[in-house]
Amino acid sequence: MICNPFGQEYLRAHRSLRELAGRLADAGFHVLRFDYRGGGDSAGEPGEARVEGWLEDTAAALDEVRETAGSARAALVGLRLGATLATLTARQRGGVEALVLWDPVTEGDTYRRELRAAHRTWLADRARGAAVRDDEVLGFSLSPALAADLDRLSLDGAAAVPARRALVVSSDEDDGTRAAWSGAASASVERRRFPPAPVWLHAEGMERSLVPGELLDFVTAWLGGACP
Amino acid sequence: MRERALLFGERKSLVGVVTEPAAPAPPERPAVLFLNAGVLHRVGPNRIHVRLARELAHHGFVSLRFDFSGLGDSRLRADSTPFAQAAVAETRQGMDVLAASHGARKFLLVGMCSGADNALRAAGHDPRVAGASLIEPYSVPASGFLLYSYRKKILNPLSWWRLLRGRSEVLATLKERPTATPAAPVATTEESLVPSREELVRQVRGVLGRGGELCFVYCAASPAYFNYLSILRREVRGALREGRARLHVLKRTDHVFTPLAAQETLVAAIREWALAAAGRLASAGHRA
Repeated sequence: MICNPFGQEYLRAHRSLRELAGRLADAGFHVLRFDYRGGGDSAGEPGEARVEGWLEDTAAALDEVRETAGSARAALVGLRLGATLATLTARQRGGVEALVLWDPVTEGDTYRRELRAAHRTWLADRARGAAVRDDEVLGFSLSPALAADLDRLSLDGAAAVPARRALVVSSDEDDGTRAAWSGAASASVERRRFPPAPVWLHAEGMERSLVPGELLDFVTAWLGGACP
Repeated sequence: MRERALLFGERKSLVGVVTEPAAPAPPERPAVLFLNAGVLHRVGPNRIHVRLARELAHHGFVSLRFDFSGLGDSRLRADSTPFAQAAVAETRQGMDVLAASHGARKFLLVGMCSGADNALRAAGHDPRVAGASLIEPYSVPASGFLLYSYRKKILNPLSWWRLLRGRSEVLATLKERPTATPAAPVATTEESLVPSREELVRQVRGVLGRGGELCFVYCAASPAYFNYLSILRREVRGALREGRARLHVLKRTDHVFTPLAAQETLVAAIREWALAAAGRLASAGHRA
């Protein structure tokens, strides 16, 4: 099951995650991608989104993929905020075979501050004179309630990694999970660094979009090994 | 309002979502198609296509937002048809879908950035297109390097790493993997996708000449708007007077309407345009 990131990151990563789903399917996995309520094709408006609702959606998707595939064995892959939601869902539901966190958001308040800073910079560079409002980030609503949810979101304090095997793929030396999963918990986590990839960078022509093929292949192969 | 996902096209390889009003649309009401903006999938920049589709459904319009081959969830084409040509063919297939499912006979196309170029192109190829909303179309290559670098900027958005962390991904790539070759840009074919000045004029004359409706939406700072002023203004003057053409120039926004306030204005502009176009089509139908 693949968990999307939020907002602008969701838009930019869409094709890459679709490619990942295709590669996993070719490797013999049933794969489910889905949009959280208020996002993508799903019902609801972004202004109504809450973290609790997204966790319910993620849990429902996990039930769905288990039922459709006719197997209780499940692996979760999450990108950015999707990695956070995948981890929390795995912890809550249990029985998750493998967990892949791709550039995970480990501290929601830091993430929210990063979004706000990026929003300010974007408007200053490209939309001079536009009002910088507190309830929007990079083209998407961020209600005060959702902002408060994000501030409370953290992977910290987990005694154990909520999966039999876990992989953190990150472009950062410190992927943030080292602090969250220290000691014995951290030892069971595999880590792999990839250089930042121009995931949404597009060829000048409209013929194809570029995706981080090497990273997607690595994740696919790792999951193949983790879930024989 | 109801939404339904579907696969269509010759190989059932195109992915789309139909949004329909709660009550059946009157048969003379045009159906609406949303075309991909750049490489963004069918939800559109900042999910604006979803918002527009739902808003229009509340006003009685059925619509389809879908992914061209190789974009979003749609598979790559099996043949080597150039993108611009494929986009026209696939837009027409999208119209066929709504003609079969909802009896739609006339269509309004909504396109942003490259979607606007494709909308205008498709309008020239299919008389069922009654109008097109052209939002921030690419600019024709008219003012040299400045324009080129602007287009590069809007065509090559940043990855989320750079977006969020303010880092240069090229530098980071080189620093971290000195022996690796960064993903090489593909040879540019962009110029062939952007209509020439003559082509643009011919396309606009074509739509207006047969009584079609055009809605131009620009952000004030964009080179595309200067194209409008220097190339199109005199072409659309008559249609503007008759109300068959509209012009909106938005300030304090970027090319993809990032500020929510700009999105509000955009949604209202498209809604009012679609309603006015539908009204004129209905009265033309009654006269006939």
